Amino acid sequence: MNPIDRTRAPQAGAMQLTPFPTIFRDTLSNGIPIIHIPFGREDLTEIQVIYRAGHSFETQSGITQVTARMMQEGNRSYDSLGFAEILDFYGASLDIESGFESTSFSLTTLTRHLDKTLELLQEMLFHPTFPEKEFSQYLQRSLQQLNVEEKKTGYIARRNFTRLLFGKDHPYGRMTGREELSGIEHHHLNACYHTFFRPGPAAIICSGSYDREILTDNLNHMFGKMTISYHEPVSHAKSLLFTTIAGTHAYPLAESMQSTIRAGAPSISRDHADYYPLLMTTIILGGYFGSRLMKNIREDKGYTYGIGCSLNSLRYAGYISVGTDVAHEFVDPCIQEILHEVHLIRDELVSFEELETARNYFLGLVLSRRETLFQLGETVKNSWVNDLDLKNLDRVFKEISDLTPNDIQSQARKYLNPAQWVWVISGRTK
Amino acid sequence: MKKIDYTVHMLANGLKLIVHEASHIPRVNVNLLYRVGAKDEDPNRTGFAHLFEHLMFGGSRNIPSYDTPLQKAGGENNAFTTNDITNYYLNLPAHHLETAFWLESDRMLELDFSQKSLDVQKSVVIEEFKQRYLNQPYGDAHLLLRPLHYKVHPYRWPTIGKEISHIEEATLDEVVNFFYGFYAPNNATLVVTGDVKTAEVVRLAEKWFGEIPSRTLKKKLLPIEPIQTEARIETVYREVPLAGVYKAWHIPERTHPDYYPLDLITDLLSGGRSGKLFQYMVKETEIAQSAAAFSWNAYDPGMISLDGKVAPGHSLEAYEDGVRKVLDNLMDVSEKDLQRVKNKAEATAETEFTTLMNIGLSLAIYDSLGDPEMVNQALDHYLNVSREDIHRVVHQYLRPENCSTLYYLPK
Repeated sequence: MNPIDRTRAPQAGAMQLTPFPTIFRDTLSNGIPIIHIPFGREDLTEIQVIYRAGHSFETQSGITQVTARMMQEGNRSYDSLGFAEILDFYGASLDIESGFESTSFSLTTLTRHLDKTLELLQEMLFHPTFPEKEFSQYLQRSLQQLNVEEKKTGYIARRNFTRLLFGKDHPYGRMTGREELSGIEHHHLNACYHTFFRPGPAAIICSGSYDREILTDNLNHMFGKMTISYHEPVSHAKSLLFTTIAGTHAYPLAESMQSTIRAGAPSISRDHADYYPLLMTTIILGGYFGSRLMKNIREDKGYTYGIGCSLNSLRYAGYISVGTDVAHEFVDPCIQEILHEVHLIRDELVSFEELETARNYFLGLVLSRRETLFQLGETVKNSWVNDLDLKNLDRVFKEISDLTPNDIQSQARKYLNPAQWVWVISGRTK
Repeated sequence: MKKIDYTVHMLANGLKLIVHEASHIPRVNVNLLYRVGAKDEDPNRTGFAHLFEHLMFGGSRNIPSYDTPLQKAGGENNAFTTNDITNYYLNLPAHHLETAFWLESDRMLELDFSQKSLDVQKSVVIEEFKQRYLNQPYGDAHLLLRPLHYKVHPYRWPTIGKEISHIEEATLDEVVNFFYGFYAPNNATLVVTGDVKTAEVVRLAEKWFGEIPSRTLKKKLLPIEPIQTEARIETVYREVPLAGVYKAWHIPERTHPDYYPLDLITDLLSGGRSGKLFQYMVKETEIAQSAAAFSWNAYDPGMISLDGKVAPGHSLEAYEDGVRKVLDNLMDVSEKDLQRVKNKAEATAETEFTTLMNIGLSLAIYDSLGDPEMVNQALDHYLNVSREDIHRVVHQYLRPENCSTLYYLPK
């Protein structure tokens, strides 16, 4: 047998770009859209009921998130404990997510219990009772938990960073914290529910191994008969202008052992034409283990356990964020290296090889996120929330396949200007 | 739940290969588990197994960069170290399967031992130590609980290490010795899961790993932890807003039949919002701001821990009385409560095995525990637990004299 050549990578063909599984669209008798993703070998189904509700629509900060959470704490048929017990008894789980442009209630259930657990979901969505005791306990616990969070450099940095990027009057600039929670009173919950949830969901996304016809019938029975008083609510994120306070901002925390650095600037929305080219640029800079920031600041200098750069694109705007935790004495050298890397990606063309590596890494990641019914449901939800074309869930392949080193440089020059960035340092006391 | 089919192959050098074919996605997971963990460390060089895991990414004899070729192939990877094992895994497109064999076999063959890589990774690990344990409120609680719970067994130190100085003092010689003492085909299990053909995987394993010699392992016999006979208590004062209470009881090793009822007990206590601890301590009496129990599936005798924070205005005594009451009530668990946690266990297993990665990792871990077939048997063990079993193990293990308690109090 010939000795093998261990110095060279084995040959392999081109990456197989498997298409997104076929999705099917139905409409309930009153117009609520249903998106089906038939998938899976397992006895599992996920139902995501999505509302146009969240941070961007509310007039009182944090109220939608709290209302959505409190909907599982009691309804016409079950009290809080009873509801938790019966869901657990069927092995089902409920995930409530309230973001900027949407709030979703996701039920994951063994398909053989789908009928029973759907009824439970219906009770929660249509007949919540918002027991006062549950609310006051929840509020108190959350505030106590904030006492802990407020001692974390990461929390302090995150909260101030978003505020400095967008201003506290803009939905994207507010994280629900002490001030917001303290302002919420019990009677606000019902008002919020009637404004955003009672009028009915904006869409329902189903994925898993269920019978499409039977499920659509069931959903029609549950949601199709309600009179939809639905009209698209106005997103304040769309209408409000934001103000950024660039420059360096320090938040000392005496007992900290490390400082958190957060740096970045407002950036493009998810539907912007530059989304994928800019995303690739941030990946090369700091989006994976082989990125420039990781290679330089972790693997060469050893300043940190991890450093990253991400593009967070929301529906109407977005932001670029570089983040890391470092020992206090590494703060200044670390900032110098971040600046060095940002200038380098602006000033010099990336090699074809580096671009190819990052591109393949990212394509691999996209494909690996199509493995489970949950990941597929998540992808479709994100596309729906951001008003992207659901007929073209594979657009990413085309968008990034033609990118050149020149494209990366022009993206970096257009969107990465550290002189105009917000720099937040929390921890170091000097 | 569907059975997980797999085949087992033993190479002449002692490397065990397990293959599970699954073609729902054109990807493959390659999981390489080495049977070495923090428990194999010298007590004066704690944190070494984990530091070594970092060095495994610093290049090998023929391949200067581990990550770049993998990323170019559309793959990603990571690793973790526990007290018992060190596990490396890669996820990549199925047609790049051989890339994984090339990369993993070269670093099993020989690392590129470099002083620069050691110096940098020491610094990275020290920052990790701070980020995860020292720069978080309550972050070092479990670092303090371990030596209270274990007096002689090496589980008394955590994988990150006992103290930063142990990491600072590690030398290149020690790195080389550790490699040849523990990183060997005869100390590893390789699991390949995904859109592959078993015969081809076996061929590639022989091609890339077959020529690596077996090595003499430096495994030591570990001391057996003596039976605890009286309650242990330690108190520390820190800059924290609420009193933390951390309790630990000795339980048997993962392969002991009592592990299953004990693990279900932690589900009864804190599996989801219906958990007894949350319901009684947090909601009904409002004594605690949070309270949750965990079982640690250790290869040697492990622990159930119960972490909680006392709500303002309540005493440690009230908290302790509340916990005792919840534990005593478990002795008379209702059939319905037991059925609920079993149903939940079934749904969790169904969800867990939706990814190649979880299947590969489970096969590797069960193999290193003694039998990969446990992947298909574990759920039945849970479903067969009776009310009598629960009663018995609460009585036998969750006794006050078998318990260590750390009070983590505001200054």
